[in-house]
Amino acid sequence: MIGTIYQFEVSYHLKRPVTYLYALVYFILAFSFSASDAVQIGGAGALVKNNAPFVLAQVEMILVVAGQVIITALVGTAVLRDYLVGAHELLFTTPLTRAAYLGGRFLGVLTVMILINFMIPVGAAVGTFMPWVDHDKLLPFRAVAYLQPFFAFLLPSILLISAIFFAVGALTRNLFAIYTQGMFLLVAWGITGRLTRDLDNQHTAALIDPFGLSAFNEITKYWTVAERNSQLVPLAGDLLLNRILWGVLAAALFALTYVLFRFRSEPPRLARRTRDDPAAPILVPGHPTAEAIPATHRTFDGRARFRQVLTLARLSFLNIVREVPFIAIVAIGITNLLNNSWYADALYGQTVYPVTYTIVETVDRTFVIFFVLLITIYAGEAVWRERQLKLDQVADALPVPSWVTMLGKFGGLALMEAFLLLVLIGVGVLVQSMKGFHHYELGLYFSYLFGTTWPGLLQLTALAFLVHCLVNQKFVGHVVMIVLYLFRAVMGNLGIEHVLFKYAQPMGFTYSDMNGYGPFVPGIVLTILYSSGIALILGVAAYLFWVRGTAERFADRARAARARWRGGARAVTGLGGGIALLTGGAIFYNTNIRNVYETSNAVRHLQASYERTYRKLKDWPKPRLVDANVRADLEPEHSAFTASGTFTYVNKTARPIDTVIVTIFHPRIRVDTLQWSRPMTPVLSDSAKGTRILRFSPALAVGDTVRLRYRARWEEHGFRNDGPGTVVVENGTFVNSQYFPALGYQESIELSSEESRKKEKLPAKARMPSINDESARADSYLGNDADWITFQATVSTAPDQIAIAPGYLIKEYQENGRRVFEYKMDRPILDFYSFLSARYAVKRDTWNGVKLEIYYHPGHEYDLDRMMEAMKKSLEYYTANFTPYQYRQVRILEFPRYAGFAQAFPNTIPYSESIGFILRVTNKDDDLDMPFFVTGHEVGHQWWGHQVVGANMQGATLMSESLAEYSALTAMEKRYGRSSAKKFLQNELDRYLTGRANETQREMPLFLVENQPYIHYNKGSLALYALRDLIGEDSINVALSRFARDHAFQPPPFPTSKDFLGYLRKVTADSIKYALTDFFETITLWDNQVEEVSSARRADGKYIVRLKVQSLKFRADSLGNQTEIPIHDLVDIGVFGPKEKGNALGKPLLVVKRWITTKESTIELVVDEQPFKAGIDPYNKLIDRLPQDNVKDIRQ
Amino acid sequence: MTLIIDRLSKTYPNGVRALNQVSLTIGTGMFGLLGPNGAGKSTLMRTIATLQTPDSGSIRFGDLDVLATPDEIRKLLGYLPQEFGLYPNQSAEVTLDHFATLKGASHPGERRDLVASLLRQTNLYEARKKNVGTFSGGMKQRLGIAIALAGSPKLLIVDEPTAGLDPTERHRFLNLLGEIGQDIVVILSTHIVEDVRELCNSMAIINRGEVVLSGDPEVIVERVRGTLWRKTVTKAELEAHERRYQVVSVRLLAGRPVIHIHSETNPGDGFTAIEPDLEDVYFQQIGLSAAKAAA
Repeated sequence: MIGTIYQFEVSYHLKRPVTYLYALVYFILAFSFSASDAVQIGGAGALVKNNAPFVLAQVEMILVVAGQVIITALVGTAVLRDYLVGAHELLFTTPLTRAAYLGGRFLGVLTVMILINFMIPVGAAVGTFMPWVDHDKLLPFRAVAYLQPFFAFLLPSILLISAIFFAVGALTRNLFAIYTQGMFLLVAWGITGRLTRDLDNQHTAALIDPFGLSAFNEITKYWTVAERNSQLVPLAGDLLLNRILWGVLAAALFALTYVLFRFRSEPPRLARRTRDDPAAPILVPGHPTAEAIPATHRTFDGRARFRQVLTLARLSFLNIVREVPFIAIVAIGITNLLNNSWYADALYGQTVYPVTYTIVETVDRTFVIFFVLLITIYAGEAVWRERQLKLDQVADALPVPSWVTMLGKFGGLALMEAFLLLVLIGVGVLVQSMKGFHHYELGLYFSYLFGTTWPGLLQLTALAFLVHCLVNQKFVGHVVMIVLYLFRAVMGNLGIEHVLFKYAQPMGFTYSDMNGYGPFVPGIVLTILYSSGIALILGVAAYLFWVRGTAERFADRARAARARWRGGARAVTGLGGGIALLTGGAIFYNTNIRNVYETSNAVRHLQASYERTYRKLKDWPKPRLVDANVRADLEPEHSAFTASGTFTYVNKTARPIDTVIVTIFHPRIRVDTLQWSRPMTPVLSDSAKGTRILRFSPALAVGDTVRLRYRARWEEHGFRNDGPGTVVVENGTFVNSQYFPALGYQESIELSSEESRKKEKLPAKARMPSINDESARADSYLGNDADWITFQATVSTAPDQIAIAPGYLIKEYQENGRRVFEYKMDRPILDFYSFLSARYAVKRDTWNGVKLEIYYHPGHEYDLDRMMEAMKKSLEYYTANFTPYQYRQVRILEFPRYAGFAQAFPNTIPYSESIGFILRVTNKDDDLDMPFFVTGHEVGHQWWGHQVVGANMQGATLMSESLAEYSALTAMEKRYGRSSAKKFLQNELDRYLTGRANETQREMPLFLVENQPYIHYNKGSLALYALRDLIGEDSINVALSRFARDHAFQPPPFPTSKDFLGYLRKVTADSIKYALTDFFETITLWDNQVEEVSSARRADGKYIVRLKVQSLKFRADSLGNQTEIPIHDLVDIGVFGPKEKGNALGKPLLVVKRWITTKESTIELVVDEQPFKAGIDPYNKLIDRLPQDNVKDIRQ
Repeated sequence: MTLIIDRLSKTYPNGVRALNQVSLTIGTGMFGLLGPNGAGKSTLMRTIATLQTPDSGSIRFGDLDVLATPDEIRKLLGYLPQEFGLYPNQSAEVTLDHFATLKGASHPGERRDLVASLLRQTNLYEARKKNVGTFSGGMKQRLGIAIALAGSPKLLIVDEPTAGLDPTERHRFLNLLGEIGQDIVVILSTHIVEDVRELCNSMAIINRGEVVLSGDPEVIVERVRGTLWRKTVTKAELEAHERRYQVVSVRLLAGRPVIHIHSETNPGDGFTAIEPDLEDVYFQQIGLSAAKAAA
């Protein structure tokens, strides 16, 4: 019996075209991942190949989850089908058993599901064989890499998905539930993923994820490039448990379905709904009715139509918001939002104040998927509601024009959206309040959500109406909408970049507390109007094809459409077209006429062409800058400035120089003056590539001087396709020195990413010159045409703003209605400067005669005291332990969040409003004072960068970023104690391990770092801290101060990291020197683990603790291939008491260093108090990919 | 006002000829439309109600061309389809108010009165706050007629309105219709021959898309007086009788077949004359048109 049902079910599906459509969709998804760049899923990178086992497993797992949204109806209708065609009553009265019926149906659809999902590995495999696929992105074909994930990871997910859909379909028999449950499942999965990500216990998180991705990520998080490329992800550990658990749960769910399912007509209910029919009074048949129906005036004028639109909108709105699915989607969405906005203040792993823009951006970003869901579903419902209720004949015979009906229904959705936005504002304010933050900017909430989000939603709604009207099949309409959204998501990857193609997407913008919506306003307004114009046309098209009566055939509808194509429809089309043309024209004028329209490809071509044309001139000798007297006349009122100055160069080479290359690589700059103090003839002027070549006559003799007078104008004209410029803005200008000329070929213009270079067919490029390239020592890593220069700057700005450049303020005055500031340096600095201007408030203090100033946006007072303290504490520690501070002032300047960095210029530190000024430090013991740390880091650069600067070669950033990081860490530790350093280093270890896993070229040892952040920041602080732990703080400081003393303000050749390591070597005992090799010269990892630990109480009341530990030590190559090496290291062994507040490890009873010289060792320690935990390297000072198994509880 | 249907034809894409040269003239009062399932009644009514376009033919209502100016007809129209649903989450009062607004009753006070009156007329006033989703079939049907009546229609089309109503409700409903039908054109389609006899001053029988008979029911019935005969036969005799006579209907009475036949003269053979009845006419006409189609 079950066999018959099974066969019937399978062959039923195999006969349906839609089954093949589903299979095709799956195939195409996987195929386009392999065969094109349009679909990017999973962790493939420059080094991790597209068909690496790790990537394939990840992609297959993700596609199963994503695909189920499309396929949801296939399983869901397995039982419902009988009800829909009314066969159930016939079927259930045959001798068929429930087991055979449900079992056969379920196994049947499960088989079909497995077959369809199997298109994922098939599609991915076929895709890799396409002739156009770049073979450098592929490993040799290995069938097992495609099949293993399918059978090991995907089958339980497919079983689970099928069981869920089958259960919902069989038990609710509700079409709506069946069509939308896939989306629900996806959203619910996203939310639980988010919630469990923050669980301390990652095992639990790994088990909870029904599709196994969390467990997968847990296992592979720190996998290196080599592992990702070569190893199959093992079905072991938490992943195995997870797959078994969910497989069993899926089977249990099916069993439950079997128990609950009944051969009855009505779906099972939890509570019986009562049906209330008030007994109508029995009237004598033939009794004449008492009253006449009152006469009513009927009007069909404009006001009446308006009233009709309103009543339809109201009804449509109420119909939506009273529906259980709506409430469910909104409830899920708001839970998700609460969850997300609760973490909206987490920025780069730090906590910020929940200022309104962070919340409103989170609201906008995280709720958009729910809006998309609601619009898709309810536009479909609106179009179909009367037909589903069988009310269409009544409604269509009403004296209401179709446009009124459609407008009313559209209004219902518009109201629903507005209503939800209001709710979201409430949620945002609630979150802010719960976080104890009470500066609610309601104006911002409204302008953001109702000014930019809502129009986009309305435009999408119009599109959804059109799709549903044209397609005229509800579920297909939903699928078409999903396809359109997907298309919208991948448009950029397909090279469709122009804003005019981005329907219903207001131009991207960044709101800043300092500058509001700033320069983005025209772009936002124009793009919204433009899409609205198109939406009007779409609306008319929807109206033309609006189904009225029984005109189901397309020919009938086309005829109706022609009949409706009359005055009103034409007028609205004209209006929409007019708006779209005008605003589209204005947009085009901005993006393509006032500005050059550049696709990302065009910019890439230009850079490549620059390299191809001029790279041969790379080593052309050039005079070096010795003095810069610069001027920036800023015009924040109209986004423009004039850059000018006099630059003095000296021929420091050993030969006369006759030819000079001047580079001003900035596409929108107009150079007005470029005047040399000696005769010269222009050889070439290539303004597109920003390159000019000229010849001095006579040549510039050795030691001779030449001056260049420069003047250039830079203006922002409207906005470009990627938005308006944010360099000079109304409040918060930040102009750096790239608007001034540089001499010689500029390597920094070259394309750096391997992928772009490959696309341009450029040879692979070393990220930095080799450490053995002595010629590279001629330049510091901050500039290639200057060493140490004397510097003077004049900045003028709007009269109500303060403008700042590096240097000491000499003079401030008004001139031609501008406020002018003159700054001068009294000692040489690097050729590294910037100009800022804003309406600042200033906080001042002094430390030992050094003026401390913070220029901030009023309202951002949150962290001023912490910054001020950090400046003092770090100046104090650095001057005491390194060398004296070279300046008489430190200034911190706030700039808008168009960029998110802090950058140290000489005695001047611009700091983005998003990273420094709204950071929130709670008073909890374990919360890191990040404003203190960041300030300490940037002050550290006044030594490491502005006193000592490394040569432009491998290892340069060890001497700037790593040392600044270490200095700040030490200053913070002095201020806040050891636990703060410990917590900080935990994050550093995680980021280092994650960073190397995502390396795109090759991991370098620290002393050869090639400007790789995860190495120079994260590994740098780990290495220096670990070394300090071994040799002592004093020794490190001695090395650092000697290094600074010997190399400060040094002219070329600039110091190298080999020089630096020499200083460390001198202060390190021979027995410890291995640590320099491990941490700096190689990539070394440890795998420490406690195998057993026990304790016994001795007669004297003390406790003896016995640990059996395993210690492995590895060397890794640049791709992460590991080789085990013998261990001979000094490692911490610790014994801990009971857990303390804020200290999960427990009170340290004894922490000692022991030489570990064998893989397995047994250690005995004696402590006075009762021990609870013990372990090896308990503080994770060594780099260990499984840091959590270093400590074990002691069984009592 | 008179509704004039002239040579209306409609063939569905699947080849079914739903209407074939249908011409009818319908004046004020109740007009009954009889016919078996699939005869084309609903197609005819939907076409009059502007929901469907015919392949050919015309419909005029007074001065208005129904097919050319559907919007104008809709202002005069009340339509209750054979099967319909309502918004489940609304109360009866809100539902009716909504439809009254859509029918052009824009003045709020007047509309309130209208809604209240219609609810009373259809005996739903007590239940007006109740959610329509909880209504029984009869209540829903009454609310449907209230919707059809809102806005004082001049042309009321009701398609099998009494199916699913209990006898009390059916009577009440027909009374209401009868009262309204005095001044306007009401087209009532039904399977129940008795309804037409009781209520309608004019009627038509449709089969296979064609009008087989139309006129005043009384006159139609009078026309067959003296031509209908009845006899109780045994099951064994039935077949022979069917061959020999033009049998209009056969029904079992206490297990024995009773046959009605049509004969211009007294057939003898144990037949007795019967008082003519619209149902007999109906069966006779359907039988004739079936025979014609078979021939």
